[in-house]
Amino acid sequence: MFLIIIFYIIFAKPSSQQPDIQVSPGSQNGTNASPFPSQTKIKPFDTAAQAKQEDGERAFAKSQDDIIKNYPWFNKLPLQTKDYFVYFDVEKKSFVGLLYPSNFSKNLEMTSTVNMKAQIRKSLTALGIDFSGYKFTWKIKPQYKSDVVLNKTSIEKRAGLQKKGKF
Amino acid sequence: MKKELLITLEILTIIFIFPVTVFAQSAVSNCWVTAVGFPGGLPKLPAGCGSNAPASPGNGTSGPCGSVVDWAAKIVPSLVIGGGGYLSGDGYDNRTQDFSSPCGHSSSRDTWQGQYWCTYLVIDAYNLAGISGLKMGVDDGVENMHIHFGSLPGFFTLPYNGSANQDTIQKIKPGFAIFFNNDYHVGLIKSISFDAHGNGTMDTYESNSHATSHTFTIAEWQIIASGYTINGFGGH
Repeated sequence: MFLIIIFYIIFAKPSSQQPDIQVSPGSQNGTNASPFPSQTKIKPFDTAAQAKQEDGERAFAKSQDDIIKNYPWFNKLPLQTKDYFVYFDVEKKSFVGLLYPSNFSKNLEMTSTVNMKAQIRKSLTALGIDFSGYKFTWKIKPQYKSDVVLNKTSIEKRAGLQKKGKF
Repeated sequence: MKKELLITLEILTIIFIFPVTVFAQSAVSNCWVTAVGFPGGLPKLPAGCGSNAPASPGNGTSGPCGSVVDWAAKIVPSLVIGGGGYLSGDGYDNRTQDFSSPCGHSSSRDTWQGQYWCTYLVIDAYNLAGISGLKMGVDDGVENMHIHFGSLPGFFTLPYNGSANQDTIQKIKPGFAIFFNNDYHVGLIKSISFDAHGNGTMDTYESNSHATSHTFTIAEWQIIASGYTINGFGGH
């Protein structure tokens, strides 16, 4: 028996080469491949590099300072609920409102988005944000497909029951 | 006879030799160990498995001496404006307190090149947490630090080009480094939250800036940048 086993081990076709134990890091967050070419060299942090970095740091700091200086209410945003998300786009100088009405019916959707916009303006005012003079960009977003399917299914069922005179 | 022998061999193979593959998560790490055959014991786990690291998923990047964010949270209140060296000016570029952990010490003042640079907060927080690799005298420049996040063992980079990217946003964790303006500034991710639509916010800890923390809006899986660019993240 033992000889047969040995015979097989020696003459059996080898399977795909793989180590006895494979270990994969649990972290799948990023890539271990450097975005930089392998010959990228570490540069000395000399006076010139320091001056360049200092300029860059100051530019970043100034960009943040300017936002607060020009829009003192900026850090009070974004407004976020399950139905909407509102932020200020500094580059476009515009409020952006992402609306997620949950009603399937087109008419109800229109009503709910009108209500949402009113609620948003009220919330901005309560936060002391003067939005007059700024444009609003509204984007009405469909709900998840599952929500839409669920709503549609419910409505179809209701329609079916109505047809049968049971609702 | 030969045919019978081959059949016998096949049966014996199935019974005795057929490789047994066991998939199991190691009880002492967050790595999956695939055992083929009957190996004895666990293999030596790579650094990325964190076999000796205390689990701290809520605080993101962690080492044997705590989370990077926790150490940054300790360092940041000690930052003041000015007085921190010959380059120290109107930013939070001076650290007024030293810190130590069983894993290491915060950078010594005489190693600072002119001031407490933005990179020093990252170096100190990582080393105090026990994640070694980033060094004073080597990673002082943001560009060098970004290179090392992409090349040091256990470290990795997460590229970001400013556009909406659900996969990238979902991978960002507290403790990650965030690189700005083509590697002219770096900070640490303090927290990040977003809903199923990809809307939320991301906060940072920073040194050598006009504030020690900033909040960035995330809308539909895109970080809304204003007057700056984000060119990537780094983690461990």
